[in-house]
Amino acid sequence: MTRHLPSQTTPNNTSLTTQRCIQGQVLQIPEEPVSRYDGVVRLFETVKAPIFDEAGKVIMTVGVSRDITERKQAESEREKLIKDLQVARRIAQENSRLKSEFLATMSHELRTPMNAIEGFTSILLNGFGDVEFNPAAEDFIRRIQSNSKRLLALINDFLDLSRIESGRLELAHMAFSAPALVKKWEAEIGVLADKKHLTFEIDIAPTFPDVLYGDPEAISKIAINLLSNAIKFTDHGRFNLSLQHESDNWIMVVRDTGIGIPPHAREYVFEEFRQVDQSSKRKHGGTGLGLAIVQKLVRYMGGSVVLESELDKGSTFTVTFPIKGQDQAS
Amino acid sequence: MNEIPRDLLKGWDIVVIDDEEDSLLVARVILVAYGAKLHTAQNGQEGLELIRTVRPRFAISDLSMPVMDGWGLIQEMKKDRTLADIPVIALTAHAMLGDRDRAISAGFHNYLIKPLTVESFMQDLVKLIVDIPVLAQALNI
Repeated sequence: MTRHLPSQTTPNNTSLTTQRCIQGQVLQIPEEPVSRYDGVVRLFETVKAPIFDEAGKVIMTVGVSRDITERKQAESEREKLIKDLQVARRIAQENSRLKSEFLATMSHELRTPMNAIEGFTSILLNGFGDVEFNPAAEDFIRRIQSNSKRLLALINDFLDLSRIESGRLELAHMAFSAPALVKKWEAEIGVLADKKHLTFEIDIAPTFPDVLYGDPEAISKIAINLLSNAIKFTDHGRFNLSLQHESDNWIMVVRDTGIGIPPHAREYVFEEFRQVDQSSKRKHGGTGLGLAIVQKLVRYMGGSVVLESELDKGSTFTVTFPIKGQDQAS
Repeated sequence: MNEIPRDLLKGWDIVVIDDEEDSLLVARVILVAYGAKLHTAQNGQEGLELIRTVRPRFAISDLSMPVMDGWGLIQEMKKDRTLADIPVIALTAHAMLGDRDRAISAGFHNYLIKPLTVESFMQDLVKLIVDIPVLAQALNI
């Protein structure tokens, strides 16, 4: 970019500075607007120096000017960009704060009335509180109860998902007993399996550690959602949970002998509110969020889910995520 | 449900603190059905006063409340020697995963998850109570 200015572009308003130069000073002008020969004003950076003769008298001056208009423009654009980015960052932080506030408020506002509905219907159906009602009302109250349970499950799933998506889920890092955790799943899922006369098998590798270090609730959520899914789509036969621990990874395999998932649907069964088809949703129930929660949660934990399925034979979900034994906890 | 005797908490003073009136009423109906004498407050500050005067066998407190929340309440109780040994059980909402560990490390004896229903409330509560020796001995089982 440095160039000597052709004579016709020599700045024409420099008499004062030239004067000083003539008096023997080296002049540095970091930035000055100068109108060029064609009348366009540009920014120049200029150095002027006197040239002396042997007697020390200034006989001429030389100057080098550089047109820095583009550079200055680029600099000011860069500054503007940085400012814009800072503003955008502040807005993003504020949005994230508002979103998590919104989630917390929604969560509270949606659940509070549901909790009251759940509480009072259970009081009525259990004959607590000395309230008498026509036995014919019981059927209606049961329907209210099953719908409120469904709505509450949906709200809970939705809020779980929102928390994972907004990165608001703080995973715990605590020591927990793996066998005790599996026992809990066995109790919860066993009841559902019995209702459908399905056999539930659990197969834990002999090398599976007793104590692990991580978030037992998040892991339970993954297991319970996969197992509920297996029950939902299996009408007879069995389903199986197998657990292994290999090189700091928990490998959880849930295999069912259910209806299977056709190839075209394998991509979207992990999407929210997507089942193989709409009639399936009505037939099999559920919130339609279970597998979405599983996939998002597993990814959040740094793991992966693999689905293999054969139509009318069943599906196998293999979940792998990193988790350490307690002795390796850091 | 039926295996829990209806006089299990007979004569026990219990304090329940929640800003939601409906939530308090549900807790009241269920606990009174098992013989408890119920005292309720709608924020941590009122709850603290109530606990001081009633000296209940145990208290159950919601976490998010106006004036003084459940965290403030447990902090005040742990500071006060005369109250520090009264067990307080936190009421937490589902999905507030972090809250539960936080509740226990803050000094709550344990936590119960809303909604409170006849089916789950007493069973969960009994499980928590039998962990507290003074209460376990006093149970009418």
